[in-house]
Amino acid sequence: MVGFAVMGPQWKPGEETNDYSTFKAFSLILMVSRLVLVVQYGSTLYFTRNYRSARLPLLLVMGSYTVAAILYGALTAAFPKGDDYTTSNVYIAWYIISIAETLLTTAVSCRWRVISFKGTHLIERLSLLTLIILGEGIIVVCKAISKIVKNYYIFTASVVGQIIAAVLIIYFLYMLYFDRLRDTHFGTIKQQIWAFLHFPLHITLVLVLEGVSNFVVWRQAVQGLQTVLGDLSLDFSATYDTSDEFISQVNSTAWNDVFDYVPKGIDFTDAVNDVNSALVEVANTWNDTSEEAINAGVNALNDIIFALANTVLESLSIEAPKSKIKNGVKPSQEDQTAKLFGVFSLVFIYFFVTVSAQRLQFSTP
Amino acid sequence: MGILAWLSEKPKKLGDYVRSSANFVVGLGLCLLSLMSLTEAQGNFAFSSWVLPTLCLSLFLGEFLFLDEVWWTLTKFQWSWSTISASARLQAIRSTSSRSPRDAGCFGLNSVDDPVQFNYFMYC
Repeated sequence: MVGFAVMGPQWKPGEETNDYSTFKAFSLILMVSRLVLVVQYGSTLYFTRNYRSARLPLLLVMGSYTVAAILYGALTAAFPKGDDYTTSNVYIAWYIISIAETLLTTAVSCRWRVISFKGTHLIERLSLLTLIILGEGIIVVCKAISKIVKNYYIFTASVVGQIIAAVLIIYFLYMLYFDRLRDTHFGTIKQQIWAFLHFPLHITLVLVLEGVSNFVVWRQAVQGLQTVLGDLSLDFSATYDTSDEFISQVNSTAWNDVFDYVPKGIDFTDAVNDVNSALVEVANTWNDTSEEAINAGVNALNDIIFALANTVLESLSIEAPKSKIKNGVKPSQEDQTAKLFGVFSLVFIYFFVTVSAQRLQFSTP
Repeated sequence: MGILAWLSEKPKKLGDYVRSSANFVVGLGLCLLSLMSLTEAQGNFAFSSWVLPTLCLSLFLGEFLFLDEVWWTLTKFQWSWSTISASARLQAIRSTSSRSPRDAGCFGLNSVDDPVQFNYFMYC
């Protein structure tokens, strides 16, 4: 498990790299895990040595794990060596080996019922795993709430409604799963298919619950953006007589609505600098009626809006991949806003697709 | 979850099929909601307060309105009404006849040898 946790963030198969040490280490971890399983089955075989019917299936399982361990160990040598940046498809062998050993183990347990799931508490274990995932859902919703609290937002009716809806969704999912769960053995092969199908179920559950927490935070972000845009009176030609008056109003809105409430640990100096630069630009073009000056003023106003919007979103831990500096040009605040809203669009799509996948699973008679 | 439920226990009642069909329709509708991302409607819906309540209400529909228990309760209500009626009739028959209820028949059916009549006796 620790190996998987270490490997997770560095799992970038297909990418060019000159360092395959993590992949090699993971292959060794897989090898050791299979050897540990061989020892465990060996100890079971030792204690059940008087039961002849259990010997052959246990030996077969031990044999399959031994072969898998050897293959995993051998794969460490198959990864590229040297300092050259290369891609490698060796990791695909992991999938093939793991699928093969799963199929073999399942086939053995189907053929020799003495080591099947019958009489085990498989149903209880898988239902508990589902329960743990649903519990994690409550935790991510609580984390979403803590993000809102950290920003000193006052809970509004719609945000409270989102939180209640989020908890109810988790509760309904719990009921839908456990209402139709039979807790007795219902056939060896059927039960194995049932166990396998928990994998897609758990994936969709995790994605749905993560989406739920994202939507709670997004609701607060939308409200924060609405507040900022409402307080920024950008009709400067009609509302303000001088540029100083306009700058003072925008600056106070930026600090009173956004910058003063950014939680610790979030760097917003870029946004402050961009707002200040834009305000200077507005001041320079205030009395200039040329088309160029008007365009510069409008662009400066857009920069202010995008910088404040990005700060509101990022202070709620809504993050997008950072744009790379191309040809020495720093990505604009507008690009970053587009990326953040792209993340939201992605969450929106996968949320409803995974939810519907679950519902269609529910619908199977 | 539906597949899992089907594997563990095959559907037997009308309610199972009704609930499954409803879930299918609602699931399809939810999936189609993701197509909003291709239109400007996504902005209106996604930035409103109705995203999570939509899912919540759809789960409520699937869980409660089509719950087995709802159908079972309706069936039970019907069964209880019939049972009460039948009990009252049997009481009346008992009070006027020394014969057993079966012999006495139901609704004037004096013989229970006929399977059709017997079934009628059981369900009346």
